Amino acid sequence: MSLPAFEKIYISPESEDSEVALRVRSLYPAEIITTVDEALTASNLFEKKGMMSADEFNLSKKTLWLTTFKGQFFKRCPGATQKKALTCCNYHVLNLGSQCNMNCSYCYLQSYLNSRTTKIFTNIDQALLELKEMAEQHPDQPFRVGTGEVIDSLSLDVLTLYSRQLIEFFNQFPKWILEFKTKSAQVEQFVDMQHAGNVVVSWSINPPYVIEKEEHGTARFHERMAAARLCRDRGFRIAFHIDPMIWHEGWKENYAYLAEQLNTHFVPEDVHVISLGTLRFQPEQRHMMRERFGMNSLVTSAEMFPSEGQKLRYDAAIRAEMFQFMIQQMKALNPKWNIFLCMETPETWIQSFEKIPMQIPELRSLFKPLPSVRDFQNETTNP
Amino acid sequence: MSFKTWVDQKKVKESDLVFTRALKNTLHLDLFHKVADQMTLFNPSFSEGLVILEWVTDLILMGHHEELFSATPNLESYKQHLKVLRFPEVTRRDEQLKSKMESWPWPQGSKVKFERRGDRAGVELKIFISSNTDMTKIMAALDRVQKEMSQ
Repeated sequence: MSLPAFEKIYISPESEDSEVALRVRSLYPAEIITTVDEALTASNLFEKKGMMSADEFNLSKKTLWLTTFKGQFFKRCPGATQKKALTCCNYHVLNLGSQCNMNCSYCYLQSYLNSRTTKIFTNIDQALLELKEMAEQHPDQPFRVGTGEVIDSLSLDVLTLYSRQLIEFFNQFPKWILEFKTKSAQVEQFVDMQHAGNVVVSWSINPPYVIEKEEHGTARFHERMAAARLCRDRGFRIAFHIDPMIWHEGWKENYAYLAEQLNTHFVPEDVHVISLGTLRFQPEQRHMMRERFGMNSLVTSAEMFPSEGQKLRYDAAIRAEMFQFMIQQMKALNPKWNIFLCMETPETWIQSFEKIPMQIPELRSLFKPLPSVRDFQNETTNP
Repeated sequence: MSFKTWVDQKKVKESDLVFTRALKNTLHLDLFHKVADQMTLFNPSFSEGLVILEWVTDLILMGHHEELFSATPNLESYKQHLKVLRFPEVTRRDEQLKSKMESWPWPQGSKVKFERRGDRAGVELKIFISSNTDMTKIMAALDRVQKEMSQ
């Protein structure tokens, strides 16, 4: 297992004695590690306002900062904030760091982050306390909690081993579902663990051609498939996010190959869900992508248009065609595959499935409204 | 008018031209300025000019060079020329959809205009109704259109 390639590591004083800091110190040479006074130095150095330049973004991937998080760890997925425009699947996120050591051309972090470092929050105990408080209030609600919103769930797990703490924690709440989401193949650090059958290890996956061209520094297609098989063999539930689907000459052949590979190596009973999404990004992100990846990329050269909710997307008819194609491919191989669309409009759902998710029996439980995090906080503070 | 004069006149800031940061070599920068000089002969508005210049930047990086100097008579046709180069797939699909939609049996007297609005393409339909009979005829015509649409 190779180490993430950080060139400089900063540790805040309050993180100094954490298990993560001790582990990082044991893995990296001392000369690249510095303890920083967060208030005086780190926040001034790293937490500038505004979007980063391309050079700053590149540097942020090579600079690690171990610090603590003072805000709320547990949140709803950003899709839930656009409920009028998008169909929401009740995904919740637990952010234990930010930035990614891989380098996908389309990555939304390019327009989302403003910290000039890769951050790992060392106060996971605080996050688990927050989660425990909520889980105890709603132990029987099927909350899905993902750790891969602003950081890959597993690509830095070799430094944190947070997967182990989370799996152990979720053993107490078997109805709650923990979802790791990754483009890495790093699973060996937790596959030996006992779990309550409520851990989903999911891969964002694309055909090999798209991975080679756009998903730089990620595990290759066969490596992800092998890691998924290992997890499946150890009793973990697995999921695949075919997201973002990227249009290109020959896309049908390449996505048909992906469908065939999934069907060859897995059966629907192994796979919790398969989600589909097509390429989308905030308009301001296109400048950084162009500067970082040029125009010889399927992403920067894509034909994108403003959609409801302001993101740039493919033409709606092209999106519907891509979804319909992938759904047909999968269902023709086996009608039992459980497929849904990620961050899509009700119109696209209807074009693709002829139904909205609440009308599809196998998806109803995913989309059924849950108590909101805010409601929950009100409940706990004002009983 | 030169590009520099246009930039001054329209009060274009450096941050408005953020897309040009992707032009890293002299050849590309020289080409950009030549095309920008040509564009400003049409005296585009601030926002129109920026849209065109961003497309030009993309197209330079995509390897389109000679095609950027199209001998078009006005801004609209030059913009259309660049649009076809930058959005070839969607332009092709829009053309097909336009001729298909325009061939449908729309109500007599209605005005049908094909449009792209962001990520969706379709028709804007204007109908004048003055009686219940008009309404019945229009509903029958629209029913026929819907049948075509669902095929």
